[in-house]
Amino acid sequence: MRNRSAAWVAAAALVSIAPFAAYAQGQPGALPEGEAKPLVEGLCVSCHRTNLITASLGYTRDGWKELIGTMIDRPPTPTCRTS
Amino acid sequence: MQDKLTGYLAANFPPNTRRAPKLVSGPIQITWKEWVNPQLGQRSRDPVEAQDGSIWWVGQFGNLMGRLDPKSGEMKEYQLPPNAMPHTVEIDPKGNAWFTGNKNGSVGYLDPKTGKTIVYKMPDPNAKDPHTLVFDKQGIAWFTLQNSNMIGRLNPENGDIKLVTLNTPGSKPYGIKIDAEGNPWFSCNGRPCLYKVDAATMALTEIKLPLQGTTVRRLDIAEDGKIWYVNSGMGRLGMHDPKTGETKEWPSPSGPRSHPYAIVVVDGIVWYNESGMRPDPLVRFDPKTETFQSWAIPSGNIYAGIIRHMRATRDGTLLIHQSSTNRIMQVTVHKRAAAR
Ligand code: HEC
Repeated sequence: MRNRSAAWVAAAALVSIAPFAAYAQGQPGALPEGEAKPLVEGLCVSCHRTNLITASLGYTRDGWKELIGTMIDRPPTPTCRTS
Repeated sequence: MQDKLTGYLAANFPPNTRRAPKLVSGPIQITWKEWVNPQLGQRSRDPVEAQDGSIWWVGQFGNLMGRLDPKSGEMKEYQLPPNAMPHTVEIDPKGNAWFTGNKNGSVGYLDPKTGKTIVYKMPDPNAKDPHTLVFDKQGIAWFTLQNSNMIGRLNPENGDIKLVTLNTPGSKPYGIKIDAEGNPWFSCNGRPCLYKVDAATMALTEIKLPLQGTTVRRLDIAEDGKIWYVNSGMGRLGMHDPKTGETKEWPSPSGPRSHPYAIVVVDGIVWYNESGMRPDPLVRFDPKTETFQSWAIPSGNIYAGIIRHMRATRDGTLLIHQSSTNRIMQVTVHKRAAAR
């Protein structure tokens, strides 16, 4: 539990520096433009590169919610644990 | 914030079939059971059963080792020494849980009774990345060091470590198993080879595999002594018979890019996964009939990947995991009603 919220805080802090870590267009793992692009660059690159996202199976909104719920904590805590 | 995030991801990365596996239907029925590990994004992997029925795993990114009581579902995570970044866990004959410190050049164990961790540093600075580890019947630990291109032997009685470097650079020793005579075998993730190790002298004998482009993540040894391996580089399943010297391969159902990865042989049946596909399929191969059957591995309501190592429990279930979705899993294979 302690680690989950720590990861969230650390990841959120990264958002502000995200533009400098931007991936150039056309490179593997390059992210399309969009309002939430900096958010992905901030939250999703501390453990792995964005190529895992661009090469993924792809998901619906609910699917993405469930997948990233196994990696980062997003208040309010979603169903990312079985009991 | 999370709505913005999932909205962006769903709009730009909706469901696709770019890496769809070829799933093969068949008569065998299986049941999945899953446990989601507490620390998020830890890269859960390599579950293994201990003598007391508990299941241990490692969180490679989380620098932790975990213990699960499968009856109650209770899980406990143990933080490992700084930068160990454990690649695997294996249980010794006394019930200690051993980990390989893949980033800090160590092998160590946790005594579950005391919670204490004992660490052995590699005696050679070039031995950087202990990887996969197994015990022989004498209780000696044998392990690979992939990028250091070495194999190692550790005697837990006195902490003595011996290392041998392979003659061919870039061989990348990866999976390792012990045969019935007590000699280790390991596979090469860098080129087409298997190796047999003389347990007494650590002399290496290379078995060259037939196809250029072959790389082998893991191997297992069947009760009849045959070595089963995944040809990860070419999307094939392989068998080497040390008695006859014969080597045979079969294309994996999902083809050359299926990247077979983990493998275990249980009761003469070969199980492995096609990690290059999404979903990541669990594949069953029956050597008697040379037929395949496969299933997409679920993670809750979604599919992702991947299995990096799998082992069987004493009663023949498979312990697998999904490193992307923080899960360790158990697969029960239903006994068929009709006798075979
Ligand atoms: C705390 C670490 C961590 C963070 C932060 C993280 N992930 Fe992951 N993610 C993982 C791990 C571990 C894997 C599995 C990697 C492996 O086994 O090679 C993974 C794999 C993936 C995969 C591949 C799934 C598959 O197997 O097909 C996708 C897609 C993904 N992450 C998306 C994201 C997104 C989107 C974010 C940001 C919201 C994110 N990740 C943030 C740890 C993390």
